[in-house]
Amino acid sequence: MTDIIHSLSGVKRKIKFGIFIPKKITLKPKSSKAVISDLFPIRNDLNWKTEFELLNIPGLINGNNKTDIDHSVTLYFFNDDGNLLGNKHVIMNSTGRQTIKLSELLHGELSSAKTFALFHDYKENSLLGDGSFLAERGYTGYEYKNSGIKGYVHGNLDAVALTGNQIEPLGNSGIIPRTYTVQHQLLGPAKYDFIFTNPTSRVIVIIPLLSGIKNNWTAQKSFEIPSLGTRSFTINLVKEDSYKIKFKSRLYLGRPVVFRVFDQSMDVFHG
Amino acid sequence: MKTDGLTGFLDLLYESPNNWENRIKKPVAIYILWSDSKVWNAKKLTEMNYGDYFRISTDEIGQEIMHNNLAIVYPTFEKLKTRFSVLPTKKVWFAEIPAWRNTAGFSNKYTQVSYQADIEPLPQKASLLTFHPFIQFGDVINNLLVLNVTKSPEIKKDSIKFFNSYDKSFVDEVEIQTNTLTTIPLDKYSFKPTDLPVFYSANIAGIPFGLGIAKSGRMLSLEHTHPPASLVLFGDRRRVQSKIKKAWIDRLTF
Repeated sequence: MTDIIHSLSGVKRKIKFGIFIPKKITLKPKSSKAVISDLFPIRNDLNWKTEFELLNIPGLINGNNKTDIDHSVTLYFFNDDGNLLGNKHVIMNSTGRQTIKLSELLHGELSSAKTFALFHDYKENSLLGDGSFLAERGYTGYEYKNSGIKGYVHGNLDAVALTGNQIEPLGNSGIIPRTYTVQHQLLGPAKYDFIFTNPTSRVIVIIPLLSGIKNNWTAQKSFEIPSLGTRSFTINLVKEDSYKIKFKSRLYLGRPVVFRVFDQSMDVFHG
Repeated sequence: MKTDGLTGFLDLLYESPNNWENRIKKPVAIYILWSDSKVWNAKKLTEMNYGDYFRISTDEIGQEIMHNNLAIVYPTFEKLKTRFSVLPTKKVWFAEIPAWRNTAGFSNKYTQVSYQADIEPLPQKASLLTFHPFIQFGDVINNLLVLNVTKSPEIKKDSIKFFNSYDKSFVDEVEIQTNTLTTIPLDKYSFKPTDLPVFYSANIAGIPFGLGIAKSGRMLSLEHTHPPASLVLFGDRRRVQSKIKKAWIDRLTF
């Protein structure tokens, strides 16, 4: 009897997967020579600095990050509507770690950049036999109000691939809306910024829903994110406020990067 | 999780991360579990109804439970015995896209820091290899935290070795334990901003965290590193991870 119940719940689960996630969350790049990157949010203003910890990922994969030839990467910068603003090549010096200070790169045409992708130069893909792709899903550090200490968060979505000079969105979305509940109780006093990127090739509409202690979800003003664009949803809480939040969209995984700002400090994590 | 000078906390939220997997709504019992090295012990903390929020902090948990700086919080529909020999495996809060998690972290009188937490028991014997880019400079105290949980309650000692990944030089060897959160201060090693330490344990797997504490206490930083499989996507990632680990272990241990 137990076997039958298990078997039925397995079938039910497969049907649900078939309806809600008929394809994979991340699409496979069209070219086997592609490299993959997340789309990392940039916060660069009077209160915020953004840095990225650059590591020699090909070296780490091949078992030796000490190479005779300098390792190079290319950062592609996008504005909040997902338009490509330009790119920058960075040579990794003979070190294990190189911290990229984004504020030093964001001048001229790049000054309105809100996200970036980082692609490693990796032509000799020794992993192709395994059908794998190199993926940069590394660590972005955010500093708030010159505190002298960064909050780190790792890549949240495997957003884009690069083949030659072509950027390919890898995020997937469907017809049936899904909700993602942030697994964190929002507690005041604090300001929460939920930063979304759209890793798909289509415009995505996101509807935030808020609830107090009892489940009384109320929809907030929706917003649209163009392909490869970014938007944030902000909520200010006062002392004793306690809320849950979820986001409804057609994204298979509509998971934001969450910043909780309170007093002179902040916490950042992926939702 | 407990580390010196900070309060550990866990925020539980009884809400599935998505609207289509495992939509349970029955009340659940919340137990705290801890190992005394011979058995797992269990104590009921509370019951949660669907939609509830509950915070537990290490200030409320006795030292007899937190003696290894770690206790596990387990939601279940069942009434647990007070002592058992193997961690229960049945998952009540379970989802895959994304995984059902909660918020765990540390706080002090000024601030708090967190990560999205869940843990599956790790194999009794497994290795750990991870790269650590989280060391910060200036007025920041840097610690490595190593979290291990196994099904068995045994508290077994072993070690983790530190190397400089670039020149492969050996830095130190430090004791870690199973079913424990081990805090290892990193500042005494004087790593430079261009160094990428690699940590290797041959016999104990774990989740490694970088914990940064502003010397003023006014800001904390916490993030976990990832296994080598996270450097690639698609294909046979488990096989790729084995290859990466073997390549590094061969070089680090000659």
